[in-house]
Amino acid sequence: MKRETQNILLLLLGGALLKIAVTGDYLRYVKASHLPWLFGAGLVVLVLAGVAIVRDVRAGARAAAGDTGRDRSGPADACAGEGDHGHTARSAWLIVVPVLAVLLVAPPALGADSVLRTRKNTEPGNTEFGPLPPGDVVSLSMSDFVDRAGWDERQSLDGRIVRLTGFVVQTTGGPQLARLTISCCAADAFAVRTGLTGGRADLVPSDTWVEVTGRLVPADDTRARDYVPDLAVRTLREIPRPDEPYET
Amino acid sequence: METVVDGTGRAGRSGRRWRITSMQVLCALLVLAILGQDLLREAFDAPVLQTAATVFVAICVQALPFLVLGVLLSGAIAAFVPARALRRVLPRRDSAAVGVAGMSGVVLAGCECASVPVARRLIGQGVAPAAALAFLLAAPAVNPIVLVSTAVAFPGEPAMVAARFAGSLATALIMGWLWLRWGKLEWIAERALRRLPDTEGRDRWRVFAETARADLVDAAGFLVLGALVAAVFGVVIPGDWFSSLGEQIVLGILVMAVLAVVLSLCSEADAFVAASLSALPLLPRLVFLVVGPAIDAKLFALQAGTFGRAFALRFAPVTFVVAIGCGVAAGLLFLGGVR
Repeated sequence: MKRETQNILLLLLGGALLKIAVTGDYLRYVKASHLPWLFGAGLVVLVLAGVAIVRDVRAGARAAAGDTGRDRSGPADACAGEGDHGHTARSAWLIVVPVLAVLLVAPPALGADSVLRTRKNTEPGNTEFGPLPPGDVVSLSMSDFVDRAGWDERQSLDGRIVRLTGFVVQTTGGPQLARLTISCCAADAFAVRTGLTGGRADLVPSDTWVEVTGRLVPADDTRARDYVPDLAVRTLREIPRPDEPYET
Repeated sequence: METVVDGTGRAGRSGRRWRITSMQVLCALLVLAILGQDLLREAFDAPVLQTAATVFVAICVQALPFLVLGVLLSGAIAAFVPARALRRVLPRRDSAAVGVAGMSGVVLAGCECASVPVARRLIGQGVAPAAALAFLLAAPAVNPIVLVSTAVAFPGEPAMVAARFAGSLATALIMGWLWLRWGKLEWIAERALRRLPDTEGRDRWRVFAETARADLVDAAGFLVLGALVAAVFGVVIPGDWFSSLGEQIVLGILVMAVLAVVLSLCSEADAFVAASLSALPLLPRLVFLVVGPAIDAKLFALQAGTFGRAFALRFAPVTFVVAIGCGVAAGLLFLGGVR
């Protein structure tokens, strides 16, 4: 592959990184704290390619002007140490793949399909839970709710009405509310989920984002492996997909 | 990569004998992709493909900044750290140099993608390959960020942090010493060994930018390849692989080691995944943490691209076995058994 083509590919790559950083689409792929890294990397890639292009153009102009006394700063000796390695050059074509994926396809955040293929709820690392805040309806993250439902010995959820945000997954065992948790990027996502009873949740198509209020259905044997609690739905409201689709 | 000697000469040649340049291919590809955007979107409408595509983009987006950090470091070493300075810092005896290089992995706080270009540049600057390889294996696994995230992921198990540190460092050192004993220089692709001349003054910045750019072009394609493989495995492997392994310890260790390779998780995040697999005993999960940063699909692709296929085909399987061994040993030592 020619040097000019490599530089164009790098410009596209840096541009794609900056694009998802600016538009906020990056939240579909990595967690929010990754943003400065994305800006930095995008800018560095653009600058590296830009510097090489400017230098090549200048060197070309000098050569065209018949400047035989070209100094050592031409691109020729600059990459002399990187001479012909054919197969590596071919591999650079693969840079096109994520660029096209980001710019043209823009894959959505993980959803119901991913929930159905990942593991179920797991034991939290910390099973010491503080008391819930007062109020009629308590807003909880999905993972907090599922952890408390399964592992809180003080049973802080008993008799409380909670408000949860997630997307609906229609499973063979009935409708569930799910949210994916990531610790770095979408590749390490795992699902936290709760069953939904009542509230016509079975009529909502999969991957619809909803805000649900309801009560935990008391159950025995919550410590069973892969325990999925049930929520008795009071209200169920469709909402637009939140900017941050994952819990971190 | 072809070297452009000067633009006009090339133009003159291609004028005489018409041939398709890579630039024309790229332009055609982009035009086709834009025209076929709707078709492309429809093709990715199936849920499983969407999941794979998202995981693929996620791995690329997550790893690229670290790769960029790595090539910047590589460029900086090439431009500003003369070979003799490196020789002064490292012990003369190679076996001692392996130890120092392994320990110095503690300072490169990044993912594994950053360490590959750096290790290659160290070799290019005359560092013994064994020492550079020890650094390559140690850096992603024993740096403070990874250890802290392991401690956060396993709040009740401080021994996991110590076990991970010991297991990963042991893997790096043993691989370095094995290379000293049996490694052959000719396995490493010649381009990775080539030394850049020492430079001074303004030239240094030119070398810095050019080295970083060339390394990025070399490595980015392979990172993409690794991410593709990991994304495919991510959707192909059934989820109950994780949960049905509880009792069979040997099988559990092997499956977790294979999973660490195919999932290609970032070394800063794998501890959280391991922590979430609470159905498994600690030992297989520790092996997962020791194997992952040492060798996985995207690292293998990066190594093959950087050091050559002959190198990667030998180095990666041995790393895999050594990492499993070190993970198990560290587990028995620090965790006091399977647990």
